[in-house]
Amino acid sequence: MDINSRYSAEQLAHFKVIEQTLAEMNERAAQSGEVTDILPFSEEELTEYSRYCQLLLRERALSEED
Amino acid sequence: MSSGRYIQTILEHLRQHADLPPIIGRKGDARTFREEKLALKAEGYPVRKTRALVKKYMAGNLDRFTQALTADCILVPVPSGSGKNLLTEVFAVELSKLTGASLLSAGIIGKTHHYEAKNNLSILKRVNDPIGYHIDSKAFASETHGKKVIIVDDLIGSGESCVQLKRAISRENVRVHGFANLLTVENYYPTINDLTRFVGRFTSLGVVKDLEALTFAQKVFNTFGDFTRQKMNRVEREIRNEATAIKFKECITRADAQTRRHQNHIHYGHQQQILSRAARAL
Repeated sequence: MDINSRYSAEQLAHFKVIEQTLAEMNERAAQSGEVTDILPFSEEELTEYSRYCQLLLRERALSEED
Repeated sequence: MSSGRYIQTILEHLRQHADLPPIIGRKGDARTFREEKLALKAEGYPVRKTRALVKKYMAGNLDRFTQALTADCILVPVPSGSGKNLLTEVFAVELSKLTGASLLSAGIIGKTHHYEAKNNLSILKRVNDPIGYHIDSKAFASETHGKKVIIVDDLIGSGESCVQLKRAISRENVRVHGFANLLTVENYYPTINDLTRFVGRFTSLGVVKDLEALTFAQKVFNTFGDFTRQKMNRVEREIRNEATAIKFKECITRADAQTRRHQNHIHYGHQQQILSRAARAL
């Protein structure tokens, strides 16, 4: 079953927002060495997003092709 | 007995009873590895290239892995901080093929922190966004029952991610039997001498008074004892004067409180018993 089909369009859109925000936060931190105290997502949101990422990573790790 | 000797005795008891799983990985300089990882990241971690890098670093370690890992082990990859790092997952898959160990299903553990560990190394800042993991208890218990849990990560430096995952797993009443890594920057835990010297930095600067030194030693152990030496040594280098020592003392107190909140009460109660026994022995 396609991993994306396990999630609603709304959830997938929210994952995109989380992905982009975290990438920007980490990029800024890597550049400046500073981290912000404003943390935009809840633990539950991050956990769900992280689980989704792992499912995608595992699928790729088990495949032979790019 | 001098207060220094008291501190050392307390630390010896704590360390003797601490759960410090073996670190299974080749110790080496991580600079080249990090460069190779960055190049893969820039390309979006293509599967074939990622697998080639994993196999290259595994090659020098095959005996170590096959001796330490068996079919009764279950491999638990550390969830990627960025959500993109394919190295750890590929490493876990290849380790499973090599040793016959099973692999924990994806999606059972999720991270709860915003910043990647490498971007938030300072203990002063980490308090606001602690590395943490949420585990689906039922699924985890079902898959790990009767197995030896091995945490898998591509690289271990201070051990921040691995140790926090170990702590989360111990809250599920499951013991971690080892950490498997492609490369290990530091594969030793702080020794008694390291810990005693660290506490001594605070007492010699007058930031920790004699009477509170024993309690402070316990806080230091709770904060650094199960990480690799790198984490504590890094902080030690930053303690230059009274002002920085005060800052780190506050931080260690907060980190200790956080650790205790996250540890289950059984563990903390057990630690109190150890300390009572140590006090009686003095």
